[in-house]
Amino acid sequence: MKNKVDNLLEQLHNDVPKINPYLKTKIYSKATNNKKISFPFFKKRLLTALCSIIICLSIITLIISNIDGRKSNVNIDKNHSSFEPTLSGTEQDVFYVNLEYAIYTQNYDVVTLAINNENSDQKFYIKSYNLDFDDIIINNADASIKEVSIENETFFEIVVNNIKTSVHYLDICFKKETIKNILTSNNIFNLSFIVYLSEVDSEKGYGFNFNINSAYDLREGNII
Amino acid sequence: MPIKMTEEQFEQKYHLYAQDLFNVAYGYARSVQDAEDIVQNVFIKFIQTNNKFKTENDEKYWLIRVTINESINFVKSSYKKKIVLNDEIVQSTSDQTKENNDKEELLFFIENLPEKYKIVIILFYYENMKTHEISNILDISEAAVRKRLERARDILRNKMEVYNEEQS
Repeated sequence: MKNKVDNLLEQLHNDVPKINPYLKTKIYSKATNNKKISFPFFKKRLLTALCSIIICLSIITLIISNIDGRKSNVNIDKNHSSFEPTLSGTEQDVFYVNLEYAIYTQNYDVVTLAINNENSDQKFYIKSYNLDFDDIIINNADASIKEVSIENETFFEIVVNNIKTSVHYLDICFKKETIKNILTSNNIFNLSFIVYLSEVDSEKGYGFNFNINSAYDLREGNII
Repeated sequence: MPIKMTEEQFEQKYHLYAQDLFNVAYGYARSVQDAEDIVQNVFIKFIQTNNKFKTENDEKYWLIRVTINESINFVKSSYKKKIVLNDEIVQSTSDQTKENNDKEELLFFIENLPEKYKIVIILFYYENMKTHEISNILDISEAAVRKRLERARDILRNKMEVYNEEQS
């Protein structure tokens, strides 16, 4: 098997096609066209005025959303305060969640988790304790993900269709700069959430709490 | 800000790096069209930022890092579409040789490797880079690169073994 896999790997370089030689003209014209936009003086003043209005509106929205956020966080904690991490013994072997890393991307601040689920059920529900998730993405499986409301609470329902692997990598997405701002001010980002397998049942929730103290910057020029 | 790089200067850089960047992007995207889109985005950033690099290697490593990031972002945003395509590929090649099926399966397993292993496999095998070059790009020691390569190969061998047992 060792030689066979090595041989297949060695062939990968030869399997790559040649790049289209005419692509360079298209690229240069695209890059230069984007840069040729210029504004006459009066348009610049208009743009400045519009930007000022947008900044003012953003600040007002931010203040309002912070007030709302505090209220909803209190509710979430209250509803789930009875759940503590319940993993132990053999249970831990068939279902566990590992923290992989936190990253900043162009669109979101992301925490990637590895969920190992060797149980037969491929449906699980996830809900934040402390900070609302903006979105969830699974990268290594075909999965349907939607927000559902159960007993007046909102959960992300994840149904995995592709069961070639029991380990699924979950990208928990937060609004851009959420983690960055918390790490800048507190040095620690606390991620607390609860997972239910198959169905939302108050006696079978798995609570998790991860403390994150650093994140990779995946925006331009950096990699993990 | 005016573009400082002339078309001739860009063509020179394109001839120097385009195929290398394409190899890396293709390793992630596995589609010519998508890999070309990724390379296009990278070069547009390159022209517009017009960074100055101390050495040619610094320039190449920067371009490869941006290609990796663009590729990861691309894969994240188009994963569901790719799953459908992969399924179609598997069905349409069902009559082909076993080696082709093995290769398809291996590519699937590479695609699902944890990111830190996938990067080294793509740079080493798709781009034919030396371990010291990979260590410079990833900013880790050469020993760590070799360790990750070995670990990645172990994972792939184990998965292929299970796959072959299931087939037989």
